[in-house]
Amino acid sequence: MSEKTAAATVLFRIKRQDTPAAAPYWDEFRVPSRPFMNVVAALMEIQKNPVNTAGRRVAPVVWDCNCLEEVCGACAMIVNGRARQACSALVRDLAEPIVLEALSKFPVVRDLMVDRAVMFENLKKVKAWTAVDTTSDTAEAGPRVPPRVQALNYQLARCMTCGCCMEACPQVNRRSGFIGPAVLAQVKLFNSHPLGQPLAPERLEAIMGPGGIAECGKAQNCQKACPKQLPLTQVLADLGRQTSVRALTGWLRR
Amino acid sequence: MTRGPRLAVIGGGLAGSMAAVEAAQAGLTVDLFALGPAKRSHSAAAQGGINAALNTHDLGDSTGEHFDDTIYGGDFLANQTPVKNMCDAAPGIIHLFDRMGVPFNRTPEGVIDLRLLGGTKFPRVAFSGATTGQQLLYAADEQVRRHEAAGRVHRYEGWEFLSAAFDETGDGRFLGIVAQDLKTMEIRAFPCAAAVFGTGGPGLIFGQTTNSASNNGYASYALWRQGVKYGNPEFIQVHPTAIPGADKNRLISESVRGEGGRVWTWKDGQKWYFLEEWYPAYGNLVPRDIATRAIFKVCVDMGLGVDGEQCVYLDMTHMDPAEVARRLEGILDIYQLFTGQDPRRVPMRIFPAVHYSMGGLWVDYEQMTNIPGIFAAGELDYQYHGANRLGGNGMLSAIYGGMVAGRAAVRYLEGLSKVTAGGGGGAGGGGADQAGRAGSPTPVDGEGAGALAAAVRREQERDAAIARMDGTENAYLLRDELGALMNGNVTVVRYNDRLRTTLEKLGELKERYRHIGVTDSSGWSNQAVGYVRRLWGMLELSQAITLGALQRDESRGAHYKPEFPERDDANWLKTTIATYTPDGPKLSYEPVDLRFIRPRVRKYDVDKGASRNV
Amino acid sequence: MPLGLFLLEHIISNSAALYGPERFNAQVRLLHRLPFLPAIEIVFILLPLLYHGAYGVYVTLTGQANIGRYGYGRNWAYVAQRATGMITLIFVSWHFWTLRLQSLLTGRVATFDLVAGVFRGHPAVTALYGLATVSAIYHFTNGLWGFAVDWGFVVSPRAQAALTRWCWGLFALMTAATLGFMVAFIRL
Repeated sequence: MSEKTAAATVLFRIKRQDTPAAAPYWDEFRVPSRPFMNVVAALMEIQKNPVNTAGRRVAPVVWDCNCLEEVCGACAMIVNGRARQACSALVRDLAEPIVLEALSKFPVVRDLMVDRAVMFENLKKVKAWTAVDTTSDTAEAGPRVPPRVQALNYQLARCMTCGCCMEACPQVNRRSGFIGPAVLAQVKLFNSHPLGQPLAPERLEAIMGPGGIAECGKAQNCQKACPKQLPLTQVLADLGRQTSVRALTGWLRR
Repeated sequence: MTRGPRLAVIGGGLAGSMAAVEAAQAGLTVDLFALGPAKRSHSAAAQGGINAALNTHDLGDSTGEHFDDTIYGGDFLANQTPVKNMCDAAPGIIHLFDRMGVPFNRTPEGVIDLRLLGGTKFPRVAFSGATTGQQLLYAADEQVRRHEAAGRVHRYEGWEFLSAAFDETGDGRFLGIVAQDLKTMEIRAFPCAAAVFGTGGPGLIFGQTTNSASNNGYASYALWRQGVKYGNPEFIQVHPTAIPGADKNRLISESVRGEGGRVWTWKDGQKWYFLEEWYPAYGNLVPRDIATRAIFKVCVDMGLGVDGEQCVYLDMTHMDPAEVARRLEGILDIYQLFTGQDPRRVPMRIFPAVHYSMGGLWVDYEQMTNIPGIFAAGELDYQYHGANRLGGNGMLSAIYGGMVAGRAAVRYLEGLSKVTAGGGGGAGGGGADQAGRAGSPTPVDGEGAGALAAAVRREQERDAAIARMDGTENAYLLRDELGALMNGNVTVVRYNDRLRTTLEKLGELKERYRHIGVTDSSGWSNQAVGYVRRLWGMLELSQAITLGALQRDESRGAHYKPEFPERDDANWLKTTIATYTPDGPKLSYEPVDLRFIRPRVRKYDVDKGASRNV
Repeated sequence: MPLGLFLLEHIISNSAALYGPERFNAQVRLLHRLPFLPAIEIVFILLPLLYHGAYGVYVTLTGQANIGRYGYGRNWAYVAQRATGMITLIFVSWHFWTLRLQSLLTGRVATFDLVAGVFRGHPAVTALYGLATVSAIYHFTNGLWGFAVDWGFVVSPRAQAALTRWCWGLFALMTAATLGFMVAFIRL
């Protein structure tokens, strides 16, 4: 190791929390820098040498990750104030010290790891699935889909339930029960699929009550925070239309 | 509580999710265990697409061609009956996932579009941008969620499988599984008469690979240690095109070549398209083992890597940017992010990386292992890819294997409830010896409960022993050494002397393992203890992989020895079976099912049809 | 909706001040001669006002502003909508007390001189009055945008952006009218 590599280090300031009930505290680490290093690689370096800048040997930082190529949604955290995937956060693009915090809108499990179960629960509430009769081969192709429709559906289907939109949304917090943009996008997706449409009324009912679409504050941070650029604001407005139509005419169809 | 038999499914990826859906659909109650939310499974990282002979473009494809390509591509090491069944089922699987809502790319007419991947002459790959695995996984997960909402599936996400429990004092039957809550660190037994495993491959053994952080192979190791046979461990696929990185090597999908991307390097001041020159019939779309070896030869043997580095160009700058965006969305941005260069304008620099394990737990044609009641599917099993997997067959085998396993587990449990206590074996068939351990639908009688409790205690003690380790070695650094060792000696090119040295060094690493110091003493969400536990599994599995490679003195598919450059059907057209013993793996061999296609020479400089007539 | 129309009417009526005290006083008398005035005021103004005010306070309390971290235009608008809502609520309460409820109790009808007296009294009061009315206008015009998006009248990003421009136009127009009549009250 030359002096050059020894000199090139990056300073990380990490908000830590030992248990869900414990008080958070800050720890600082110096990590040897490498070209195109991302935040996950830096956290891996800390595992190999968990010594903080005070020279104390501490427990390695706990965080969540899996695919490391921004497709699984596991490693979302707050990097320098912004919710994003740690795997696609390159150190060279970040101002030092690089500050890492757990997402604040979900219960902290430990350090940078949070529990996002609420999002998966909400997917259940809105019945985010198609109601296929059987997994057997029905010897029949699915419905034809024009490429334009496929393109929009693909956009929405890329949501990886990472929670960045929830983190950025001022309407999602401990005092509100807002279901959040990610789950609403799945309502739009399945309401537009031919085999999802039979459940469309139930999905709309699910988002017309408390915590539903009406609690959207239109701050539109969600779309900007989404790492996959889902057209969330358009989705929310479109669901506004769907729910309005249902609210105004639904009783006529009972 | 739902009455009736319970099925445990371990793994939330494509194989596990589909097994859970099948069982829930049949009315079973399913406990689904996964390291994290199923949507975050490694299946999500699959990119290019899924093979099915839909023959949309009417170019003469058929399930028979798909079958033949797969067997040929796997260098005749795969059992032919299950592969044929899988290829026959593939079109129906695409239609199923279409109904489940996967946004497959479409032709202008609105039908499912197909593209080319390596090892075939037919466009056969249904795809959804370049994140097909993610889309298929989500669709499967959504169906699981539908059954979950109906109370037929109970998810245990954030739980890790530790071991199976058997009636050790009695007839040895499978009683259930032992798993750990990775948050509270609680270790618990879950009684069940059958379990389907879909826990993926052991890629992390090789250090920086294209695999996800969860692909540690511990579940397969734990089952192997408990008596499940492991098939073809030495067959490890190295993907030709990846971007090297400090945390992992990021895959650049084969679909880039499928859509027209070309591989080249500089030679005598000229662009040299070596794949096209060496393999005129298939060009850039040779199978992965062939392309990887070619790139290795160019960079390592000939020293012709770009700028003297270990990489060659993968070039798509000649392609229409709009079309590229539509059909390859999802991977190009990743390349740009991690290299700072736009692949639409500058050729990508790529190098091979470990990608997939063809080998895995031995299963019969109903996906049941040699232990009745324990099923395996997906990358975890050894069944479908022989000596080399074709692009587009990975997701297919995960889905198909998962569905077969789910259905077989249902039949197995039904069979148990009909058999009186002490009666015959499982419902599965397939020609394996299943003698000895018979199951029972009601595993938790008095003795069974005692055995389950004992199994929990064993795991608790293992955990406690690891937590007490206070040596000087760092487990993460040790894994880096293991990765470098395996990656350097047991991947693309294998020499017997180096394989022997590798086995010795593995022994040394196992010795140094005992001097690990565990860095985290917390009793809550402790990631370090689990890591150390899994590292031992990696070390022992590495021995099986290396020994398998050392013994096999031939070259076949992904397994290549310069000292034995030819395929040797007379001596080695057989499946390696690794059995665990405390003194290291013991190897045995069994014949390959060749009932449909006679082995022929595998070469890609001419059409496979030409070779068929040899 | 009724509240927005009332604000529009209010500004138009007040703009009568631009044409001098007589026109203003005539306008006020005209409004006071409307049949069922108390019923109209209660059903169409007071009740909606109370509902909207209470609901707005609730909504504001359940939000958690984060413009520090996400300083986007629409996020500012989100905060501004709540801030102007609060200002407007306080202002309207006071405004209602001084210029409507008192007149009911004392029988005095708001006249040009009465209003002008308020404005000429103290520059700070005038400034606060200006701030509050501009707040109310912003709350209304931005609320109009939100209404159109909420109910799904405008969906696409382009339509949303176009409506934003129209709402700013309306804001400018109404602000100009308001500042105009305030100047009129002071000058004339």
